[in-house]
Amino acid sequence: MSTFTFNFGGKEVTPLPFVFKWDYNLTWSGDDNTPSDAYPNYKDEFSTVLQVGDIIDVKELLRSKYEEYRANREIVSETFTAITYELDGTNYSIEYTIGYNPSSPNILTFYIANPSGYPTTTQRLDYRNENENQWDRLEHMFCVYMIELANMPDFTYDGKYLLNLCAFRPSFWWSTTKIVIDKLIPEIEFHEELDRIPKSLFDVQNMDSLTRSLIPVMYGTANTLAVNNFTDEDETVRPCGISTHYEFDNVSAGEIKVNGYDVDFSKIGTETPEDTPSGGNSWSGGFSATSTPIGFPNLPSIDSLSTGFIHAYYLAPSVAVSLANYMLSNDFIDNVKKLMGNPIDYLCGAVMLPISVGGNVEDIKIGGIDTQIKGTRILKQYTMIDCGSIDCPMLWKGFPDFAPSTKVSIFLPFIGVRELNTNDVMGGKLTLKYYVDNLTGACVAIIRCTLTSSLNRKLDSVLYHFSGQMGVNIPITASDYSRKISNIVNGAVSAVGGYVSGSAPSMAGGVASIVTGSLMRPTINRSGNLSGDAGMLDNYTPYLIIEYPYQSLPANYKALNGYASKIGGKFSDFSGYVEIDEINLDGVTITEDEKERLLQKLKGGVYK
Amino acid sequence: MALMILYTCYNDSRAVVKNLTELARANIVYKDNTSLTMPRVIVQTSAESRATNYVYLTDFDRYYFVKNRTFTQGNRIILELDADDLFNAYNRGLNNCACIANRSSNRFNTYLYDEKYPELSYGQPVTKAFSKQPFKKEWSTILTVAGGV
Repeated sequence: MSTFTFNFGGKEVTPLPFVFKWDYNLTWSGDDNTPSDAYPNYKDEFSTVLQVGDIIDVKELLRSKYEEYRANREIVSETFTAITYELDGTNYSIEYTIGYNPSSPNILTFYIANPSGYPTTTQRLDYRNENENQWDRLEHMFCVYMIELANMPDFTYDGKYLLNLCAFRPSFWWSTTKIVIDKLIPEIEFHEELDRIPKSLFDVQNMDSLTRSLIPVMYGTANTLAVNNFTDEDETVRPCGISTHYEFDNVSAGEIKVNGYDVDFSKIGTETPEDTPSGGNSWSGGFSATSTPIGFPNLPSIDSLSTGFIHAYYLAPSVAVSLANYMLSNDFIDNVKKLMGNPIDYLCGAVMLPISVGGNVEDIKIGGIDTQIKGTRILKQYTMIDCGSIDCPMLWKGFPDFAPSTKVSIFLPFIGVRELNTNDVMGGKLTLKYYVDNLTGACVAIIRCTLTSSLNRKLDSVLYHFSGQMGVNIPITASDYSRKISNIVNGAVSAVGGYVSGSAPSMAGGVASIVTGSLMRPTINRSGNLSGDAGMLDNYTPYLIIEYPYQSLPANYKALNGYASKIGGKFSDFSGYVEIDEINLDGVTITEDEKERLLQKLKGGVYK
Repeated sequence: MALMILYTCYNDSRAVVKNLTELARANIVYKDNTSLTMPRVIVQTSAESRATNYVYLTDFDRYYFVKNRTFTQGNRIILELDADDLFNAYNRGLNNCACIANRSSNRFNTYLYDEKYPELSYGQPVTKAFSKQPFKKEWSTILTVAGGV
């Protein structure tokens, strides 16, 4: 495939193919609204179902459609829903309209038209000269940017953040497709530097070249500017263009900063939220709980290595064997004994770690003796290990996603399984980092919870700290060895004891809860403490364990039973099944006896 | 003599608004002392009076369910009625009343805990690995040595 490039600020940008891989079923269908007797083969309708794992290449889709139309000499104007997705109970769709007329056999037009009320995006492809690679023009029509909007209240509504699909070319206007990127592009690989900027859609290195003079249009207002000083955490200025916005409910606040807006974003926030889990009326003071973000700690700037009293080496396995052989040789022992006495006295400790530790490659020196064996002299006592992040998605989009229905725990290598508060993590993102003492092998796992969901919960702070022992101490002397054996036995007892003591009372509680309701499933400790040797034998991959509930919802449940409401309004606001909590019968001219009977019936549930 | 309109009502008694089919109109007399909410009336036997399950009493300007009917001498039927409080209130402005709903089919909050929500006793455990796996199976050794370099 040839490559289409375009120029920004003197640099050429080469976007990568625009391909979605679905992780859920999609249905698309449409009809031909241009019937003609002159073209009896026009298609009345079509429908396609995409299955989980199917890959759709928009460019190839249009190409195949074009070739099909051209072969059949059909007049076609097909509108179909290419993508449907659900966001907080509301269905959205992305519609494509493809137009073709045999009288202009080399031209295919298509629109991205949606959602209702938004302007449409129109693109015309001309295939008279295949060498122009018109298809490739599609590739750079979508670039995805996630922006952090903490200081821009107008830019959010209903607790959602906004996703921008950017088209860096003047002819591509008003791309108003709403996309939930986590659902539609599940395979996307993001730039580490800017997190949610997808590598597959844009090369971040080229962002530096974007300038204000090449600004895509926003909301169809031709002269509205949407170029911003786009900065990452290193404060590197990365100007970029923004064509329009899309609502989005899962962005990590603070990870990307956007400064210098000179566009009237207030227009964006005027859309009526389409699904507000309204609990009705707020308290008179409202509710505004703002967290101070608590980030990960920095490594200590001073440690025992910096004192100069000790030094340490990082030894690859082969180096460790060579050094051990050398230290047990007569040459080394004699030299050290002549100079200083027992050579073992110079070894403060040896610990095995499952991580790499950086430093300077030097000859290993013990007690002033140069062993002539190369090792990495480490300069820092502490190391931070980034385990990345993980999303904890809500599946039911309702209370079953939270405790007590859903339980969340986490397996931490060298520590064990620890229970998390479902409310802290559900619908958000967890980021895990280990802090390791390279000399002793002690570690602490720190978990930062980021909540930016549609439930108006906002949090970006460290909430959990679990300590453990990552390193396995190597016995240097016989006394060390006997102490180590004792530790292993104690560790094993601790691990088993942790399981037993945790499970027995929990099971008892579980049995009791069966009587009162299935929601209270017993909590079972899945591990005791895994440290040192025990941790070495276990899995090294940290992972989340989420226990989602299954519902057993009968047909007509909503119609006949309704869902929990606690919403106020006029009686006329409610339809279907309604159970009244309280009602003011002012103006209803009936007797007191009738009012009592009426209230009893309204509270028991009626149909409207 | 008071007037009663005889209907057929196909709605659930818990429906606020009733869809009614008028069968006939008939004169009635009240049996003994009667109440507003649960009156008993006497009406001449007819196909309509035997078939009706819902009536309107013009005297009281209220709708009633027919709870029971007793056939008596003189080709008459005694109808035991029960006021349709919902429809009667609906016709007197119930729709304008301010209220708070406990449950509703159209205005609800799925994030409110719902004790009626049916949930199976078993769930679906899901495991999700973190995006990075930094720990190596090939362990290395850190050797700490006394003294400076």
